[in-house]
Amino acid sequence: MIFLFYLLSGVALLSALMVVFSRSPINSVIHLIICFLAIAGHYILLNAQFLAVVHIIVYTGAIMVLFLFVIMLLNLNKENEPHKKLYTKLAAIISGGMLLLVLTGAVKSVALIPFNEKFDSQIGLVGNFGKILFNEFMLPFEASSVLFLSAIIGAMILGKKEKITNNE
Amino acid sequence: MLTLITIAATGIIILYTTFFKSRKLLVPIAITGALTALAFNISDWNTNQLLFNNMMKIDNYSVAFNSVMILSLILILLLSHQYFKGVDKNVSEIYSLLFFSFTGACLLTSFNNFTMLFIGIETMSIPLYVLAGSKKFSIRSNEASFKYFIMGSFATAIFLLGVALVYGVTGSFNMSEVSEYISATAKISSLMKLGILFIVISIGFKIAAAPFHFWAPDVYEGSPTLVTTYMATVVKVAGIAALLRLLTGCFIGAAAEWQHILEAFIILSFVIGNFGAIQQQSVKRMLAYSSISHTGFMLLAIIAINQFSASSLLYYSLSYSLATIAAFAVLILVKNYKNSDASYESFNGLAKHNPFLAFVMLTAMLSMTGIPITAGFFAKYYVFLASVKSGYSWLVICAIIAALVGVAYYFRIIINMYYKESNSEKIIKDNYFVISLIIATAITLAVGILPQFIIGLI
Amino acid sequence: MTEGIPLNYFLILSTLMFFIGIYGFLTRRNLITILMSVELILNSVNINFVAFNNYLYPDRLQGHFFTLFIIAVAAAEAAVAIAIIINIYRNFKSINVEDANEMKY
Repeated sequence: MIFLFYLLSGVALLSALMVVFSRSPINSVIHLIICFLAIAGHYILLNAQFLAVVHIIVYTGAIMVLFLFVIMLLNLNKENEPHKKLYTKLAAIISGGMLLLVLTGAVKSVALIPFNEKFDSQIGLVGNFGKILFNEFMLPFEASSVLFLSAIIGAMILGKKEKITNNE
Repeated sequence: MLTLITIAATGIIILYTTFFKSRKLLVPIAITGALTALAFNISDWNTNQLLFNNMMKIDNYSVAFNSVMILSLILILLLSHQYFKGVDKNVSEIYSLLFFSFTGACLLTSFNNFTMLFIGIETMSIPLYVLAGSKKFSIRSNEASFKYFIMGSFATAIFLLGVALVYGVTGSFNMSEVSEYISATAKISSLMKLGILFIVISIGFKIAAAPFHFWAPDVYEGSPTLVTTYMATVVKVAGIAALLRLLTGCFIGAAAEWQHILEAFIILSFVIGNFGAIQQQSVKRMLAYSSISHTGFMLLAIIAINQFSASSLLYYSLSYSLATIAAFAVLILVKNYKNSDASYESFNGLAKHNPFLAFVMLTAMLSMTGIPITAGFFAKYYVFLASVKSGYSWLVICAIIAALVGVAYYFRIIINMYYKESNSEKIIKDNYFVISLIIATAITLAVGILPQFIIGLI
Repeated sequence: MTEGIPLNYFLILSTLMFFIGIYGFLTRRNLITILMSVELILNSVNINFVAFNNYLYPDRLQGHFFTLFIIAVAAAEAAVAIAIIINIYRNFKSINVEDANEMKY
């Protein structure tokens, strides 16, 4: 199992690095898709089968395709993105690295938390999910519908093409 | 609960008015919806309810803050009729987005679970990203929209990391369970400390507390002024109410950890807010910076974390919201009339031909400065009292200095209005606008004279 | 299925991805790539939630649900972000961050 973990982690981290470093947006998107597939593999390792499927459908299927679509629509695949100056990169590395150090330091202390040995391979399946979603997590589920409605309306307002009028 | 449903339903009803092409009905429908919500909200007074498996907790705290926010919403809606005159596209959508965003704000005052906090923050923010960019052909509005979006999504990511760490330590998203866990363990683990740090920082982003304020001046300036008014009042009050609820209801056992963060927030907010505001030539930007400094005062009530915190914060929110709405309303009129970039000079000689507007602006500015008989004086007084009781005298001294510096830029407008000459004429304003200004000014004065009505509530 | 893999490994993986996301967020100028960096950060947090849930509290599915909500909200956010980006492109004819810097103080 640990081999699988190393493999998936390697793929995820490498493709994540490629997302950040590759010059053309299309390459970034493709690498991000690979990264997300590797993360879905991690979810299956972690016994979250339903989540893995949702992750693939929503991220790889919807969001990433949307990104690709926009890049092609706006014809953005030119590699003319100007370089940031060296000191911004240095600042980014230093601030990010400090965060990394703090986080890894904190994460190491995680071994102190008692480990729970109970294991049920069926827990991440859709049946269990549905039961809890419509009992315990009813309100957030309903409230997120408002969020989606507003996202739809918002995307529609901004995306719609209009003639220029003189409005304040 | 009915409050929430009414607000969301009003948003949907407003959406349908697009089909009837009846612009006259928009504002009355919106205000009726808001008033109904206010009535439902007040009927929840003294009924402590835990709803939906402890997801939501409706108590006097949430009812009081909801009322302040609904009052602000109604005043903003009253301003909107004149503001949107001449705009013929997407107006009803903008109103419904305002209401959807307000649904999120209501969730923020009454959450009892991190899931609800997350959904509330997002429901409040996502419509706002759109609203900030709703002047589609204005370059500044576009820029404001994407700056707000990028900073907002980054804050969300930080917030989620914080919640993940807290979840890892406690194994629960429920506020009371997390609180029990913290009080039961002797030593707070470093994961927990980091989690609290990240959560507080991300809410600091949302309420524009320095040093996480840098998006605020640009976004406030670029957005349509009405949306800026909404951001500066409702969004800020909701965020700060959520912060106090989170810190008292959940992280009270770890007070020593987050009090240091808040100290830094407060001092930096005073310094950056005030010195930023002094330098500005545009009144809109000045108000943006002054709102950062007001965040500092509000955080002063939170850092005290004693029995006076909630009531003094409520009073401060009310007085701040009213003064901000009045100031922005006058700014909208002056800006439209002069068709200018709202510099200080456009306020010259306002008192001569528009004495009513000048008086409204005068009370707003006095209230923001904290001069007696306006609400701002007692607001600052109670906040100071609360933090002195918890031993933060040195912060109060800083706050008093900050308030004195504030005189410099607030009084500049008053001097321009009353002592400078200009050839301005009478500015036309419709009835809704006048009603809104009268309500805001009247409550500012009434609450300033009789503070005990508000301060004894919660 | 996670016998032999310590919890720390997952957390360190998620921390590394978080760092990569932050680096991309701070250094890239293309709005779409910035958005992708944010998605990376959100996903690293998701791994955290699921790992904590699976290792420490497997009898309750709370971490999974939070991840589900994060995925949902991220989708909504991406939709709005794409609309904002298209609108910016119409006005600026570019989606680089520094071209859109009208307001200076």
